[in-house]
Amino acid sequence: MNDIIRTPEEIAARVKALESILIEKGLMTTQMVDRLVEIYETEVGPQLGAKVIAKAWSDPDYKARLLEDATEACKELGISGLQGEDMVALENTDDVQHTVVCTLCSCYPWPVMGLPPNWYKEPQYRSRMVREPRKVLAEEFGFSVPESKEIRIWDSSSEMRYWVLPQRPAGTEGWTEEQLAELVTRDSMIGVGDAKAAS
Amino acid sequence: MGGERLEERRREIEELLCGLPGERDGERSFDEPWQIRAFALAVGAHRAGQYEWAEFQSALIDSIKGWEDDATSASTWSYYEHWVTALESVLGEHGAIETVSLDAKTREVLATPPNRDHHTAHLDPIAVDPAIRH
Repeated sequence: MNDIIRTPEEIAARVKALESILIEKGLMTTQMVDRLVEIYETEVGPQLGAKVIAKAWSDPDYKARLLEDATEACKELGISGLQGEDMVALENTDDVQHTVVCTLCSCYPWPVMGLPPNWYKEPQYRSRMVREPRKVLAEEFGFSVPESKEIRIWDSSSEMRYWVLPQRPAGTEGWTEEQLAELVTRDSMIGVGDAKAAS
Repeated sequence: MGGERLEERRREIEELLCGLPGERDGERSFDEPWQIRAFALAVGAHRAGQYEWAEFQSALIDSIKGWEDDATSASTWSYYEHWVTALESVLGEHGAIETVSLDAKTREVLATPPNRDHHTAHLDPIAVDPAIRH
């Protein structure tokens, strides 16, 4: 076999090239690959977002740094792997719910949040979320945002990746960061759901 | 979204994975998106009838063994690099891909920046659904 040592970019490109050739030749379809990926999509990447959010909930100084510069604040926790793109964390409040889409492709802060779910890449999610977010959140995600809250939709691009800092669930006073991290869901970081309630 | 169905699909795949070398505690872990893509391609191509799973299995064993035997190997251990090597090898044997065209396609991908159409940072919300306060 070839002994060429490849850089991560080269090997990622090679895998993409393999997939394109197989699809062009009609030997596979994108849907087939997506369906297989879907099974393991929650297991890709370090998924450190929950840790970051739990720390922000517990430590006001860290939260301030996170909102100021999410890329740097993540580095503090040893999270890297970002290829130069900037990240912005958006804080949900009693008045505002933030939700993230990528209107053109599937830009997503995977070093922090793992692999994007398949629905995130679907054109329907991308376009409808911009047109009628309140309705999509309620109908597709069972997430009712009260009328009294404004919904802001953010477009992640390869230059600027957004993710959401959900509100800390009630009844979690005195919880450790580890306990809090358990309540953070991927959907809450995309902004299509709340963090889990304390039980 | 069909949690049980997903579990069932997963079990079917895990059966394939049992006999593979280099598994650590039977645990799947992917560190980067290309790894799961490569993983899915190998399982998918087998399911699409491109090769027998045993062929992939032995190609993977060969690639890992080659790396282990090569005492001077400067490359560090990467399970999924062997996975990609094995996939290229079985697909090549069955004439599904040619190294020359794969090399060319890889160069093409490398020359195209990721998300090439989406390089502009949007610094404000692209849509707002205002609050209604009575």
